Amino acid sequence: MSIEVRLPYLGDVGEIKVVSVLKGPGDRVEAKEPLLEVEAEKTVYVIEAPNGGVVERVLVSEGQKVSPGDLLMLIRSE
Amino acid sequence: MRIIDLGLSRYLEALKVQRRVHREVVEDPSREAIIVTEHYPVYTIGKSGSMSNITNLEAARREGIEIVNIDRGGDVFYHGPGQLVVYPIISLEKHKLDVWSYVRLLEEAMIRTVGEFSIRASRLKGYPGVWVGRKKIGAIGLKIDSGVTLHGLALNVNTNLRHFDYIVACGLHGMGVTSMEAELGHRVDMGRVRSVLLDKLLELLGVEAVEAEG
Repeated sequence: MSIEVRLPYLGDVGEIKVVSVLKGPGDRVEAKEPLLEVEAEKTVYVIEAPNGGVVERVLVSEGQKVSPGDLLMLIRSE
Repeated sequence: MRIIDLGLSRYLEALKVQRRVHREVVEDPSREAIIVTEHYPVYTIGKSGSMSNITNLEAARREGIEIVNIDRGGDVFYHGPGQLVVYPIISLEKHKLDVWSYVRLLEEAMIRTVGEFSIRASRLKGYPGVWVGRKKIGAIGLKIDSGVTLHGLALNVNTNLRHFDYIVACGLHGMGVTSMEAELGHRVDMGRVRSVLLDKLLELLGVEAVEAEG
């Protein structure tokens, strides 16, 4: 089954931008492994894998603006 | 809260300490610590930074200023002796903080600290950090990994401001930098600033220093 990775609420921050996409489709990831990094308020925030599995889809790219709740990645759990 | 005072440190050496403490805190939040240091002259380029914001590379080389690319948020910044650098390595969840409120807390600690020295500093909406007019006196750059913070704040106390002339600080054109020394017209006792800033920070975090390490 596919697990959605969404951008969490970071507080009342201004613009949030994707600064690194660390995993691509087909990559195997462990639970808690870094998947992406976003930046807001001079802060790089690491988004981790909620569970182990294989990255199915990446829905954002570096430089893209995102909002809390946005779907970032899909991971197929095993 | 452990206070780890590194004295005058090389940026990358201090970064190793940060990462070690970060791993400890991810494992066990009771190991939280505040690292305090001053760095040897260095330009650090953050995740969204650009090398092109170091506008006078030749002067930087001539004066022996190191250049380091790092994983914090923000653009180019200068660290050097006379600037108080504080890296709290803490669990945001434990302190019921989010990114927004943590950045505001670090700003507040700096505003209150310079206030004790009769300097009126404030926030500038959309520009994290602490400002005296349109000049930045205190900067912030952070990383949150596994819910635990890395990097922190830098407050210009007696900083050599000339070293900011070779960069576009924070990637912001048309804004300046200042220091407590520049605002007051005399050098300021770094030991006193350090102690006031740590007090304000601990107070805002609602914790006490329990242990000191060299």
